[in-house]
Formats: sequence, C-alpha cells, structure tokens
Amino acid sequence: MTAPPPPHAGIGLKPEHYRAVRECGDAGLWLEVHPENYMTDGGPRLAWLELIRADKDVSLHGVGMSLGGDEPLDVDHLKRWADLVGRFDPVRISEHVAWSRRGGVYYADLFPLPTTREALDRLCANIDQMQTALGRRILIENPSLYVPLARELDEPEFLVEACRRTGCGLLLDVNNVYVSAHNMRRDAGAYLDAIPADLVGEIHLAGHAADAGGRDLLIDSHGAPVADAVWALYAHALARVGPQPTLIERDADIPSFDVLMEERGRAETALTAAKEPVHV
Amino acid sequence: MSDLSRFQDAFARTVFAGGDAELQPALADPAAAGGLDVYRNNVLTALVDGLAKDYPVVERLVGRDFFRGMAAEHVRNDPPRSAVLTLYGGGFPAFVAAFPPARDLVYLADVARLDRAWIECLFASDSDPLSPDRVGALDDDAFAVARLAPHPSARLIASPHAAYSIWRTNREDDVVTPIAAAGPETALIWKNAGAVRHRRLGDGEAAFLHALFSGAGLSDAAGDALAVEADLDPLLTFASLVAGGVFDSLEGDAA
Repeated sequence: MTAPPPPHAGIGLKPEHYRAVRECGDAGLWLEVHPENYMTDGGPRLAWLELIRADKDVSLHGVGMSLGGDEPLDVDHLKRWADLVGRFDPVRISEHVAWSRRGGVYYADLFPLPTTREALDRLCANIDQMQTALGRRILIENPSLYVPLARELDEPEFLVEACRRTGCGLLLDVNNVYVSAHNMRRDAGAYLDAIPADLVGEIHLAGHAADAGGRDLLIDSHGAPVADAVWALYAHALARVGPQPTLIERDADIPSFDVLMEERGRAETALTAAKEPVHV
Repeated sequence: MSDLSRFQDAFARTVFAGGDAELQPALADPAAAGGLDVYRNNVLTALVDGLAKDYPVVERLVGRDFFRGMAAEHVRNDPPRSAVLTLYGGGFPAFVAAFPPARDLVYLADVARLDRAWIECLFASDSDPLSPDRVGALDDDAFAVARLAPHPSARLIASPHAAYSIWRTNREDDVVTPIAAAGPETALIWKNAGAVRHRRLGDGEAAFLHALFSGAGLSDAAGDALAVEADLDPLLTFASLVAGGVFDSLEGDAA
C-alpha cells in the first residue's frame, strides 16, 4: 500500500486575490474563508467563491459563532452556516475557542474563555449544537490571549477534553501558541508537546506584531509575514503531529498574490519533508 | 447566574464601556489588566474600519478624524446584533442626521443613505430582473394594473438637497466637480449584471418609480409622473427602466 500524498498548504482567500486564485494552476492550493463574509443574498464574493470552488478545495473558518459564550448558539447564524456548507461542500469546518456574543450584542472580536470546568461544559454543549446543526465534525482553534484568566485546567488539557467529549478535532494555530506563550509567560514547546497528534486536523500560520501601546504583549495581527520563531515552532509541531493541511493567514496589509504564494511555498516544502509522527 | 455568565457580562462591559474594576476578581493576575486594552482597541477598530469602508463619501466629506469619532460613537450606541458584519451600519445615516457636530452639513445624512444604498445594492440578490419579453406578453388590461416590485438591489434615494450630485463626484472623481444644483434630487441605485449602477432621475421618472415601488399599478404610477412632468412619455420611461433591469420578476416567472 502506498502512503497518501502529504497534505498541502493553503492561503486565506482575500478579495484582492480572487482573480489570481481563480487562474492559479497549482492543484494543491486550497483556500480558507470566513463564512460570515459570504452570508449575503448575492454579490461578488459569492460569485467568485463559486468560480474558485469549481476546481479548488475550500474550508470554512468561522469567527462569529461564539462557541464559548455562556448561552446557546444563535440559531439564525447556524442556519446561515448550514446554507453555506450545503452550497460549497467545504473540506474542513472550524471555529474559535472564544466568545463574542452576549445579550444579543455581537462584539466582533474573539474574547477569552477562562479554562474552568464550568466553561468547558458550556463549550462542549455549544460544539455539540454546531456539529449537530451542520451534520459535520468541526475543528476548534486554540486562542491568542492578552489577559490571564481564571484557570482550573491548563489550556491543552482543556482543549483536548473538549475534543474527546464532543468528537471534534483541533485546529492548531501555531502563531497563537507563540503569541499566547509570550503574553501568558508559558512554554510554547511544552504546549505543543501536550497536544495529541491524532486530534489535529489543520494548522494555521500567521504574522504577529508588538503591541503599539508599549506593553510587553504580542498581538495576533495577521498583518505581517510569519515570524522566524513561528516557523521554528511549526517545524516542532510537524515533527510532533505529522503533516497536516497548513494555512497562511493574512488579513491586513495584504501582499500581492505572488508574495503570499512564496510564503505558502515555504509551508508546502516543510509539509513535503515532514515525516509521519511517532505516536506516544 | 453562573460564574461564567457573570464574568462575560463584566468583561463585555469592561471592554465596551470602559473601567475594569468589576473584572479584577476574574483576572488571574490583576497586574496584567493592561491587556484588556487590546480587546478594547480590537472591538472598536474593527467596527469603525468597517463603517469607514462602507461610508467612503461621508468620510471624504468630514475627514478621517471627524469620521472615526462619529463612527465610534455610533458603534457604542448601536453595536452589531449579528456576526454578519457585511451589512452592519444600517442605522448610521439616521445617527448622522441626529449628530449635533455634523448639523451644519445639512446633506450629510442623505449622502450617508446613498453610501448605504450602494453597499446594500452590491450584496443584494443577483436574481434575474423582469425581462422585457415578459412585459410584452401582458395584454392591455393586465399591463395597466401590473404591479412591479423593485429588483432586490434597487434603491430610490430622495433628498431635498443636491445629495446625489455631491455623492457622485466625491465617490468617483479624484478632484470633485463644483455642484451647480441646489436640489432636490432623487437617485436610483441598482445592480445590472453584477455591477452597481446609479443615476439621477428626472422629476417625472422619480414620481413614476416612487409610485411603482410603493405598490401602485402602472397606469396610476404614470398619472403620478405626468402630474409633475406633463411632457413625460411614461411608456418610453417604463421601457427604459425595464431594459435597465430595475424591476423584480413578476410573480410566477421562473427565477
């Protein structure tokens, strides 16, 4: 039996690159979108995504589900999600371990969740609700953190427990691991070593920035190339969990398609070189 | 109430309304509360940036700093209710109309309505408009009483000022052209073959479309149009609007 080909690297799909992506002949290139940006009756984004999806894989990566919110999910939002899943048949579906909705207001950010037993129960109930509504397994992404909150479990333990209880997988955002480790004074390598390889279904890479306010914080800005230290951590992650579909995320200060594809090529090379993990 | 709910209420108030005293017990290290500013900044910046993108002419008219101050106040007054931010900001024109520091710019709220109409138009359904063939197939009686809904992308924006002329030159021209007219003006914004179109309507045309979009039958709408512009040719006007794709399919048309 021959081993399956290694997974490929993708890029976050930006309107600036619609035409270049559509015309790109790289068979392995896959695209990730924030589904919220495609929840419209019509318009150019949906039209382009239809064209691109015709010959490339697309994953949906939500930012607004508020899985960590201490209330049931917004059923209207779930319905819009289900419509997009039906229309675009995404290869993967993911959301954040965060909350953004409270009392009917949507805060347009990823607010942090304390890693308590109570928060874990709520997170699991909401993951169940999302997976049931969509009829699909989802991946949950580890957060970037800027304030230390109440903690009964370490974050890897908290995430792994959520995966085990709901059957979901992990989207391992290596930049978030790096940023949170710096901000929370944790050990990024030890964090990765606490993640079981079999749970990881996708990896994210992105750039970060120093806090403009002068605090000793790193900000998950998605506005710069992936930092060398994050590439090094990515190598550590690949050695541990094996090759997984890897996304270059860029949401601000967007470079040309060619420049972004060069950065994606670096991940593609690392994926090709990565060996299957030794399970422990 | 659960500890988690208490924390989330306090956190939301802290980052959205300022002050972090009530959040102190939830922080593992109160000395690190400065990180809350990151969330405060993220929330406001993302939404104000979004409004700036959706109201480019308003921003051009009042300048970046004034716009961001006004937009931030609107965000605090009327935060999003949905995770779909593409169409957040529908209440902004009314907010602008009532914003005291902008009172001297009497046309500003109508310019905001035009910016808003443009973005709503872009993301409206791309369903087929009413086709000329379909209209031609109606017999005379059916034609006279036909009620035509606007295409989902079509918006009529009426202003007592020359809001459309101001909006158009500020939206399209690097160097704005002087505005001769004082108003009133009515503009039509709609989508044809995926592209947003807009133009100023004549008085009769505006009355005609206003009547049709309000549910009047064709012959009644033509009467309204002739009352304000006696030498208008309603049939020609109608034919040109249909050809432009301004109306929705008639009930029973295949989509």
